[in-house]
Amino acid sequence: MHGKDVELQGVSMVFGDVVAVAPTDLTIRAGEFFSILGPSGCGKTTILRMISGFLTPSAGRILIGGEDMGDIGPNRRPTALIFQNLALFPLMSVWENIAFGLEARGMPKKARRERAMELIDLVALRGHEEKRTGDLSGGQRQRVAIARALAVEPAVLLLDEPLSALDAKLRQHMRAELKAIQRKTGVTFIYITHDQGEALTMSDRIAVMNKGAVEQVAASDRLYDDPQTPFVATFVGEQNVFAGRVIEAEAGFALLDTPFGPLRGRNRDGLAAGASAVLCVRPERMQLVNGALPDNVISADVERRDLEGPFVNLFLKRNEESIVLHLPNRGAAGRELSGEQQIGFSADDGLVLTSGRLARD
Amino acid sequence: MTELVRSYGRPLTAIFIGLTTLWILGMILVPQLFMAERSFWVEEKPNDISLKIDRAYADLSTMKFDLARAEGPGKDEIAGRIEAKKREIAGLEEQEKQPRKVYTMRNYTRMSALHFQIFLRTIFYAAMVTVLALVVCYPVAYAIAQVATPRRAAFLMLGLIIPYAINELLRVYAWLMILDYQGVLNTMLDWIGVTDLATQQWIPFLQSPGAVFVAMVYAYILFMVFPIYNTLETLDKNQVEAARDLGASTWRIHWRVVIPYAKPGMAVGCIMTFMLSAGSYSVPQIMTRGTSGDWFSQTIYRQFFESNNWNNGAAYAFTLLIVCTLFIFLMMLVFRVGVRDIAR
Amino acid sequence: MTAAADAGTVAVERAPARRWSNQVLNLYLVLFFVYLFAPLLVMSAAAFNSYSYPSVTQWQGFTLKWFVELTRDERLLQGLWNSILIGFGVIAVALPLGLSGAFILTRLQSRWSGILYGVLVSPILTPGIILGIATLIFWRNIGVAGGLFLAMMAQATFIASYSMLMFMARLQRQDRALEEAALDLGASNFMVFRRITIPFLAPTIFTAGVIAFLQSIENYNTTVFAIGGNWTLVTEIGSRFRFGLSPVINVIGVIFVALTVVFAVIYVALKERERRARAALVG
Repeated sequence: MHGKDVELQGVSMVFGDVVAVAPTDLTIRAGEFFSILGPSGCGKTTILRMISGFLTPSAGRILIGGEDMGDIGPNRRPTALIFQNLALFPLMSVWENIAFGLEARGMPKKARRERAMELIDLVALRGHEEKRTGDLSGGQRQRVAIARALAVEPAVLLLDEPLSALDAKLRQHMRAELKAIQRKTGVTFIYITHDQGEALTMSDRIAVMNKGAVEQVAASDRLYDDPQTPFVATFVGEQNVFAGRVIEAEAGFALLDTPFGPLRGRNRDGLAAGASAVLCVRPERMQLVNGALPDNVISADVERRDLEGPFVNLFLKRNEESIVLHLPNRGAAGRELSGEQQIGFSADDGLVLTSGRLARD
Repeated sequence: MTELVRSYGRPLTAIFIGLTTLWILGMILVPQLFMAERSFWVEEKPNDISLKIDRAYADLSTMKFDLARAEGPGKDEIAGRIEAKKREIAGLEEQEKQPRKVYTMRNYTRMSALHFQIFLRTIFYAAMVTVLALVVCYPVAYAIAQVATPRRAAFLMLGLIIPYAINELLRVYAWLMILDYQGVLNTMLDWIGVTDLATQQWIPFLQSPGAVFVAMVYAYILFMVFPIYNTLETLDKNQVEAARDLGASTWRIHWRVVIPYAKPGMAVGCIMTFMLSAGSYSVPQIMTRGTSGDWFSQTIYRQFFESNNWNNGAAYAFTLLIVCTLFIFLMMLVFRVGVRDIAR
Repeated sequence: MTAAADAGTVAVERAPARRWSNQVLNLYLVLFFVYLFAPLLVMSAAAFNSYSYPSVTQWQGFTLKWFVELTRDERLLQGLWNSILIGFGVIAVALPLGLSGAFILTRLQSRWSGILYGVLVSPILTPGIILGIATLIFWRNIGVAGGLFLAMMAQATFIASYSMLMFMARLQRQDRALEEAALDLGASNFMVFRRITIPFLAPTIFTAGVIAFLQSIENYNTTVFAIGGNWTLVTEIGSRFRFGLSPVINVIGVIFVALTVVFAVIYVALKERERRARAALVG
């Protein structure tokens, strides 16, 4: 099996007067584990259905392996889709499900069964091949769906939130398994999810979507540390957001006037003085000031302390604006924290972005 | 339609559309249009044509008279005119044989007083059957759907399905045996001394329209039970319990909770019962044993197969269709239900 | 409210007023079922009376001779054969029509779908005699006279509507993703239909076929107008009432009752088993 690249050129989708997907350009490389991440209703499933051929784009072209898919129906595209509810055929056995795509290609029954058994081994379902899919557990059903999709040797595997029906523990396990299968087969995976944990752990690259538009495409680390827009910054992981106006812009950094006083952060986008902006700082990049003063120092009152386990969420407040810190759990040492505290962060850990819509709005 | 094409492809979709179109046009709409069209014309043998023919024959004999007396070239000319006249007569006679189709409302307006009376009585009795069936069946449907335990409900359903599945004719025939001159009812009355079968002093139940009414209620009552049962079955029992818990009386629970919920089923039941009663040919035919034509369906049948007046029969049938259609709209209005709720 | 009632089981401690009203309801049910079954018993009993006029009150001894007479009745047997022919014809016509209508109605997303639905169920709501008359007049214009074929066409007009409603109920429970998954795996449109849709519909096709056949056999009001000079079992029974009654009709009644009871018991037993299996799964 070899993956192919998928290219969206100005693809858009309009239902009536609702724009589900704004004109989008996107290139997914061959053999890549690519995720599309976004809140529900952001258009990610629409993109998936357009790539698989169940929806025809209102405008634009979709190319797979350089070939225009314009007139090619879903049954002749080199893609396979794993449905959110898996859509296993209830009246067929496990191996018949897996061999269905081969049957459609006219492969004789004996060869079909052999090939199905190989895949059954790949997804570790040996011994279940004659069962009806209704008699399997959630994880096993998941594996049947994967094997069924892989059986047709697709160049591109499309996955529509396939883990959402599983419980948390099984979901963790299936992440690793999916990643391993992708490595082993070299097939291009396009994975749709609203769960950022899934996207960050499995993907080579992630596209973040909001309201029908792709806001950023990047590898996990880049996405987390260098978000392009306030939406991406706040949708992926947690952020402390300080809104304000740029009062001083210099080489690489900018000073913002915020309700907590002037704060300095990276000015990657070169905002000029007077621009309306937000300063984003991750909760785990802030510390309690203890001795040496960092670039930015803020005073706020401790409101609440929540134990997460390995770390502690510390909520502070000043002038109706709240701040959250993730502090490593050091046992008894931090338990008595209260009253006004000095907190600080380095200017390298703050990112100044042009004001825009946040994920929590 | 694009969805159908995507799933099943163009050929299969074309077959689906083709078959449905054939069904709608060839079996539902066009036949009923033909029936309606037929009700709006009569065949007429025009009087003026026979007059013209009479006059032409008179002319012909005059010409023949002239021919006998004429001589020379005038004779050939008259012979020519006679030939022309003969052709004219042949043409007119051909026209007379083919009656003219005249569009008119006469098939409707000429409905005799007797037929009109039969029509009104049929509609009235059908409405009575419907009301009676509704009143009788509501408690039955409620009891099976809401009160009985699942096991018992299955058993009771069996008791409904069996008579429902037995042929309508045989069900009516059973009542014929009960109401017959020496039937079960007269025999029982004989025992208590009301009638005396030995001297043929029986009550002629079968001669009154009441007999048809009784058999009709029996024949169609189950068409009222099933639709109401089907809707009430889906009513959450907790709703009734909750209403009772809040102190509502049995009467109020039914009026405010159960009946509003059962409305679609009641509408369907009423439509079916009325339609079957108003258009029933079997029940009156069996109960009157074909001897009298007191019901509208029988009148229609006679127009077709005894008087051989199809146009009149079509007009009567179309009238019945319109009444039944109006009744459907009336029920949708009374019970406030939509088209989609009907015939579930 | 007691805990038992909350748990959905029959409440033991009920208010006396409620117990009283339930007693009334029970009595009512008993009367209703007596009303339903007593006439059928009367009719069935007369089949075994040797008196030559169908009666239970003038009992002249038990006999089975009317059963024998039925087997010698050529017209009734021919009528039964005609009914069976028409029944199979109706299955062949009504099921494809009903299935097509159901596919279109479940997939059509348009404001016309309501009107289309109304037209397609209208034969159920039209008096049977009118369907017979309309069919008769329509085909007469093409030069086809009343007979078995017209009876079949007239019946299929409304039986197709019943089939359609059954197919629609089934299709509405279908997971659309199954067909998409099959397409996505490379199946042709025809293969999707054959391997996914038809197996899913198979139980309904069977039930709809049986019901269509039974409705056809039983039909009188429509058939009597479209049958012309020919006859079915039921129209023949209908015409017998004109010329003197015979216990042979009662014999047919007994056979109908017996067959119906057997089939109904099987049907309810199957449903009950299904219900219990479901309850066991949930429990």
